[in-house]
Amino acid sequence: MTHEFEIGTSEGTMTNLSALATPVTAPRSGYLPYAKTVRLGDGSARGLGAPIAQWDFPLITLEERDMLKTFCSGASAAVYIRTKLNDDTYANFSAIMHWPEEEERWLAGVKQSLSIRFTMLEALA
Amino acid sequence: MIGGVATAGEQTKLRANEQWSKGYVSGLEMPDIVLQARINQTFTSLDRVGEITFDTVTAGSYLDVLPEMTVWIGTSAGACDVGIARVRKAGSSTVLFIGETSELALADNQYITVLDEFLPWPIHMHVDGSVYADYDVGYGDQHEDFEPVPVMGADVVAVLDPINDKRVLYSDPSIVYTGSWTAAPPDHKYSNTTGNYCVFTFTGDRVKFFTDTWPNRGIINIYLDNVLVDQFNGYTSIGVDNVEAYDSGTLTFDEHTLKIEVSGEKDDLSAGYYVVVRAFEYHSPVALEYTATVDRDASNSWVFDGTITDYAWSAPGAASTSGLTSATPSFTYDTAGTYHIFCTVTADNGKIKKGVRTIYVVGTPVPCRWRNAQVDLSDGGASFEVELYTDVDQVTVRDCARCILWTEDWYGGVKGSIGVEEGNEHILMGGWVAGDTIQVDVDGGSVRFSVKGANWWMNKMDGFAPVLNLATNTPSRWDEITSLTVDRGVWHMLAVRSNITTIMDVRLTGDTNLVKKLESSAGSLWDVVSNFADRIFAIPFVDGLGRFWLKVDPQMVPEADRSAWPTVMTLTSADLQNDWDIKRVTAKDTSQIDLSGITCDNSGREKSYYALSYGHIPGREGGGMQADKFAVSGQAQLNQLAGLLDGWRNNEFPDIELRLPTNFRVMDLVPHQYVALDVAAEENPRGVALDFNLIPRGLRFSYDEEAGCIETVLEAEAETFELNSCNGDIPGIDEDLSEPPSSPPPTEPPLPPGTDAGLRPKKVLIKDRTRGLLYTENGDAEDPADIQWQFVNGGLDTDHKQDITDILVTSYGKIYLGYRSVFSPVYDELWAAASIGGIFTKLIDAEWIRASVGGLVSETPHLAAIGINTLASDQIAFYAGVVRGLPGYLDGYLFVGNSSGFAAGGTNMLDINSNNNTGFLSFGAGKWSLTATRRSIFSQPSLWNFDMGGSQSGARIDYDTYAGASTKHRRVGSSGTFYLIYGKLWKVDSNGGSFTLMNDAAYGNPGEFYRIWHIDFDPTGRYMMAADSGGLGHLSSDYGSTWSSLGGTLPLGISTFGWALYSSQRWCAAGGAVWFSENLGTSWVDMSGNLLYICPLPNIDFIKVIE
Repeated sequence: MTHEFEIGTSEGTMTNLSALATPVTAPRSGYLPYAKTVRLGDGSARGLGAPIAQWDFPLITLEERDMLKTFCSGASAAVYIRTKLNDDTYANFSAIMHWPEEEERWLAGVKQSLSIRFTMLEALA
Repeated sequence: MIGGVATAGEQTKLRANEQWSKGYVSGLEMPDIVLQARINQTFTSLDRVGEITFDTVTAGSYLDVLPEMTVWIGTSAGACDVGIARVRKAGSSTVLFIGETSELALADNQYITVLDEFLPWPIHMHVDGSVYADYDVGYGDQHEDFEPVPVMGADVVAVLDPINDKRVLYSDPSIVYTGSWTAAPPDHKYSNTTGNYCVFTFTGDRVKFFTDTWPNRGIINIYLDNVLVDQFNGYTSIGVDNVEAYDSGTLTFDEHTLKIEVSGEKDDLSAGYYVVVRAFEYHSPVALEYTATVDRDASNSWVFDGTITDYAWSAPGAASTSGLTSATPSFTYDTAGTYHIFCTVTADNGKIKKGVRTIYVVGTPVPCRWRNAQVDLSDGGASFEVELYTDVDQVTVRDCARCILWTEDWYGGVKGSIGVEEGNEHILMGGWVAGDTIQVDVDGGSVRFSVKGANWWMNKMDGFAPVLNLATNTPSRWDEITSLTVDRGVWHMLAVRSNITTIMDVRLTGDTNLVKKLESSAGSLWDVVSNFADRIFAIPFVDGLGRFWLKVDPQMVPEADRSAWPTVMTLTSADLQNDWDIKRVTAKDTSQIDLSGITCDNSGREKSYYALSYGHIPGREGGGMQADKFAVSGQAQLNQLAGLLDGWRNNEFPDIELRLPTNFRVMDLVPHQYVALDVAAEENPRGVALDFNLIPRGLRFSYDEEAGCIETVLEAEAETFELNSCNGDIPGIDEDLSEPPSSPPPTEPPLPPGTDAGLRPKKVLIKDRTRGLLYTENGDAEDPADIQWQFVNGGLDTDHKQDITDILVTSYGKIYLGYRSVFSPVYDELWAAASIGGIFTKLIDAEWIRASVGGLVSETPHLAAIGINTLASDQIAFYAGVVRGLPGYLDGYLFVGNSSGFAAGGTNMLDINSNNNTGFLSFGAGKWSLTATRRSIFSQPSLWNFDMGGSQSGARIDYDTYAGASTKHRRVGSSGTFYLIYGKLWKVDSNGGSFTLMNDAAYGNPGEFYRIWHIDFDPTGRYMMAADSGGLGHLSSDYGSTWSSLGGTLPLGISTFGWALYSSQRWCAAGGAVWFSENLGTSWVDMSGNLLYICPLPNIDFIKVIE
């Protein structure tokens, strides 16, 4: 099944993960429309903060990892992504890409469970 | 919404999900260097240095050095290890003028760096024989004709916006024409030669072409990247300019060409083959250029006692400007950097003031971590902490660097900020880096520091313990201020003793209560301003944007004056997080408020008032509170303030802390504004309905870095209202008095042996026709220019100041005022004050008279004459009655008594004419003598005498047989002699026993063509001075037999004379001024002192020497 996950350093250069110089397998993704909720005085709740997306790669090769790392050479970087929403549709966002502070150990060139978090998602028109 | 009620759309945003923000700072960069040079002098003293000679200019020019710029002095180039100073005025090619300083260890060859930076600075007074402001600014008229205050808005952070669309006109060099094309400026080029063409080259993803249509236009061939893509028929029967002829739609983003060619074809109806090129437009997904527009509004600029007439802006470095001579200019910038805008405002008094603000044009924002951002009314302003990781050279984070915290904000996922100043909605708050808080984390690669608002810096500046005085004459010194109020005192501190009004917006209370003196021994500039403000329950505050406000505490503003305050928003439980912190106080804090207040008039006369709230009986709970010396307009305002303070002190909800899960930047703490609270009892842990307005006291903003959102804590208290109050007690007096005790009676002894007859009278009372009574107690001042006159009209409104017809001063100092009117007798009244300067109260009026003589409602009461018994300590008499019959008689009595009560004499008089019956009454030789017109169709004058009890004594004397004798009379002391004046001058002895014509001039007055207007005598009656209706003065030394003119020694415009006690030689005269003569009018000394200042163009028609 084809997917629409894309990443780029600008809106115009977003590329499907499978079309990157080193293709990357599709992640399992999550999407939160706001970063946290607070309980209000009348019992209702308000969602605060920017949307958050997370791409989880249960198994990822070193080459794939390095490909993704080119978009985030430091701890975080401003990127553009296309990711899946909770209704299984896709949308484009500008976002801050956060590289995990600690990475799993490598086993036979394969890393288990690399999670990349995107915050401050701003929907692109 | 800008500083008002949040719109429905804004309230929806504030209640929306998906709120987040990104934080940035601006302003930390090193300012540009305006001048770099070296000191070229040695210093014999480092004390009170106000200028520095320099040479070796290595950068910049002295011509660019502006007042208030920052000066660094260092031992190496660009350093400030010696210290910093401010430029106080423009210098020369060799001299830099700095604010006077003693703290710098200056030395020859040290390095000077003048920075394009404007910091808050104190300015102290330079005392060198005379007193100067800012080293060498002498006092001129600065405290009478005030400088205006430019209100230009806050410093601005303007983010460059990308421009993706661009229009290229026909004449742009990027359009290459081939063949013969004719230019038709300013609109277009045209050609009708087949095959002629032009090519426009651009890099973008869309292009449009614009032409004209006209009856002689041909068909245009349009080529995109050399491929014919369209043809456009330019023919129309009626010409149309600027028609879109082609739109490429979306192209690949790349370099393209669009070629426009004359086809040589045309519509059958067209008269020609012309092709017109007007413009091309193209779009690029990559910004073509950047721009930021800054709109400012200085229409709130102000000046005391005047208005702003002109605005003149300048904006060095702006790409374009507009409206530079209006209040609302616009500036456009296309390059990131730090710029300044200047606005010179001109007041209608001709004074000017230049303000400066900084524009931070941002290309690449500097992100930051921030925390503890708060504004607090009690602290006086804003503060926050910043941590930077990248993008700023940490070495340049320096003490006093400007730092503005701003955010990009999203509400409901939609980008856009909500704030309180248009154009600055994205600014959270700003200030200057507090150098002692800078911490560099080398390992972590970060730098942390605190930023403090101007209030904090003003709290670090010396306030110089000022003493400011109300000017009771034209101010001539820096410590005298015309119509001194708290506002004017604060202005002085911010405009004269600091440069605050140059670099910040300043808005004051508008309170107009005069104060005689403002002084503060407190240390800092902020303390001084706060101490001044305490006199009117005001508080100084610098808001997050850096604008100074002085506002009366909202709880101390009368409820009637709160109606214009906006209710920014009504908060319900759905707006609040469910962790409440609402303090409720049911036991009262204060049982009684005991206030004292002081009024002051322009002459510097003060009066104390006292007020209690609730009243004389303290409340059941709480303790007493006493506060003194508030500047008030009178008893009523002080009582109101006491009630308001009592309400505030006993606030049921004095401390409310609400957590708002929103980026709540829709309000500020000033100007006055509400947030309403509407929470049902069952929705809060207090179990009481919370349905009232909140007075905001503080705002705290926190940033959840994980979520990226700002949350707000609103600190507030419930609005309170005025409670019961009453007049307070004068300390040491058991009874409730509304006026001070009477002054002791003035002494009137003979001139003591050895006393200088030339000594001017000390205490003199005068009356201006329109402004009422004035009084001096230092008429004997060594320098007559120092004589201080002051108004003594307490209790009188405008009408009662200008309609006084009689002034009677008893030997014990009590003063009575009569109001008599031939035309409106219904307004006839008698007022009294316990002493000169006391509060006048009304003793009798029309109703009193009607009731006292048994008059009917339909009968008009009238007060016909008032007189005083100068031999008694406190006795006056007046004749009053009601008008009856036609042509009318006045049916009434002579009443005798004093302010404690009056008794009617035993004679009910019926023979006074009611139509022309302003009579004259005096006491002498044991009789009250009334001269008035009797009841007859000819209104002839008559004389009635009364005994001391007010009963008629003897028969009426009809003296109209004496030609020219009027009813107007004036008695010689308490003798039986008085003079009939106005027409001819008749002397009347023995209270009517004989009449002697003393002067028989054709028109009655002594030897002149005018009538006698006023006359006064020495106690013997031998010497007299008279003022005629032409304003000339006359003297007689022989009981009025012969007269000489005083015109040679007195100016014109004399209205009245008064004997000046002790010697027949001593006289006072008044009219357009006040004079004194020690030699029977041979020479005169001007005693006007400050009179012309507090009472311009006086018209004095009464003078009495008291002592």
